[in-house]
Amino acid sequence: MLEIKNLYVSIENNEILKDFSLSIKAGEVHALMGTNGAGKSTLVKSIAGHFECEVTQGSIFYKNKDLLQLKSEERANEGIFLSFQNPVEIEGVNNSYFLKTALNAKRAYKGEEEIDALDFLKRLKSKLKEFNLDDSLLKRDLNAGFSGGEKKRNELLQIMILGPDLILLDEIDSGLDIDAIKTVAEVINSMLDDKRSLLMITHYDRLLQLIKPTFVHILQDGKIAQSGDYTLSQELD
Amino acid sequence: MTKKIDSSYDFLYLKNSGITHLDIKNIKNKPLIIINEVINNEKSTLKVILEKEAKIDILEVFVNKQSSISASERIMNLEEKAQLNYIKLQVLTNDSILTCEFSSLLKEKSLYNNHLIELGSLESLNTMINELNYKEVRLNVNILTKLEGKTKVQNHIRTIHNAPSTYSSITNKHILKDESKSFFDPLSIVNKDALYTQAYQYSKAILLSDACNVKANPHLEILIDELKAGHGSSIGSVDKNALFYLQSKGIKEELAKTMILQAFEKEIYDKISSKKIQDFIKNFSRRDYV
Repeated sequence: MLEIKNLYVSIENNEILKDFSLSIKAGEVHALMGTNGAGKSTLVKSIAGHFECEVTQGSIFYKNKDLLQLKSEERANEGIFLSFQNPVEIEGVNNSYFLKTALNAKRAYKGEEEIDALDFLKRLKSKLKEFNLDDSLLKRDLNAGFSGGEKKRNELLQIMILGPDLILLDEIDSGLDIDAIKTVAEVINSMLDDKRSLLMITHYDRLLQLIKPTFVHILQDGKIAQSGDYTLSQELD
Repeated sequence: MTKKIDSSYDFLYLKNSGITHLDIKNIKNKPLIIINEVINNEKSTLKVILEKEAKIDILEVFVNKQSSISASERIMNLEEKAQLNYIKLQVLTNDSILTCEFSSLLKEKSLYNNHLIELGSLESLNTMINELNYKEVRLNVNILTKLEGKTKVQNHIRTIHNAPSTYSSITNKHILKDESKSFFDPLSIVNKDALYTQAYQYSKAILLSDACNVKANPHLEILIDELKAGHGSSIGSVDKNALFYLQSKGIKEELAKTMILQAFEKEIYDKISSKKIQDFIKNFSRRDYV
């Protein structure tokens, strides 16, 4: 599904990723661990097409398409979802309107008809009910004044509605209590199948106890220093 | 001019000339929409008098059929505990010039909300003098300056707090494209007798081109210590992080920008207390009136 080869990425002329390579197949769950500054967030931001990340060498192919030739919205509509470590607050943009706009953008990209407001609301409410999530988030502005936990729940809601094929979680467990982490795991596990893949960044084993990774990678100084199975994360923790 | 009939509103059609008096005696639940057809080389005066405890929402739309240079004077007299929500919506041809002078007499515990929505013309000059001479008077001025081409807008707002526990908040949001220019010049003076006053001034601008220009000079002159006051000014382009967030969820760049700009101006529209007037502005089309 995702093939990264010999990737070099700089941010403001500082080389962060250095000769980074990674292959993720459909249905696999990969965990990325490592110290702060090792390049974990830079990697997922580069996959999503963040404006700060300048790819100087190497390639990223996703579903056999050259990702570096696609704009960030095209990457999203191809099925890549980045859950932000610190989701941006956008006051004045209603959360429900944003979700519907994002879903319709994806449908338009695939040549499908726009979803009507009623169907959208039904779909949304059923997802919220399924995981006992609070629907008051929908009435508020996008992440504006949300607590850390609410922001992460909102990212989960987007994952459920948009149904991406490759989910990138950038420290979704940071700042969450154990119950909230269980909800994250419940939602993500419910979505995983042999077609959907996950790359999650975390510092802690507790998320990995709930979402079992196929592979664990340790990132050090911009490249993978060590790879293994779930037991590798236990050694680190 | 096409007269649009909608029973949710009262309509008044004016030519921008002569003197018009509006005497409001009680609470009006229906907003008043004034369609003001601006005529070249003419000056109009509108005097609004709100009796004690009267309340009204007024939207005045300045439109014209062809290029004009004209002037308007707006005098707002509010008796005790009266409430006036006045909204000026300016949608003139892009070669027109309009000056508007606002003045007010605000009695005890009255509330005056003045919204200026500047969407078009070649040049627009608003001058506003509000003397807060009676206690517990509240004044809010909210300005949206959304310009393109070579349009210029100036807002000179003088607020003088002379009585205790008075309140003023002056805000200007600017969205500028092309070679447009916006000048925000508020001066709020808090005199010795105006104890426990609150006075605020804010300016926020989004610049969408290199050639556009905004000048904001928030200015407070304070002669007492017992008050709350603040002023601030920010200028920037569309927030790149917000833009990326929306794009990374699949929304095209142009639409994402539009969403961010609409969110920016929404704060001003949201401050219009009448939902009916908000709806009228949302559905307003210049073509219906010229």
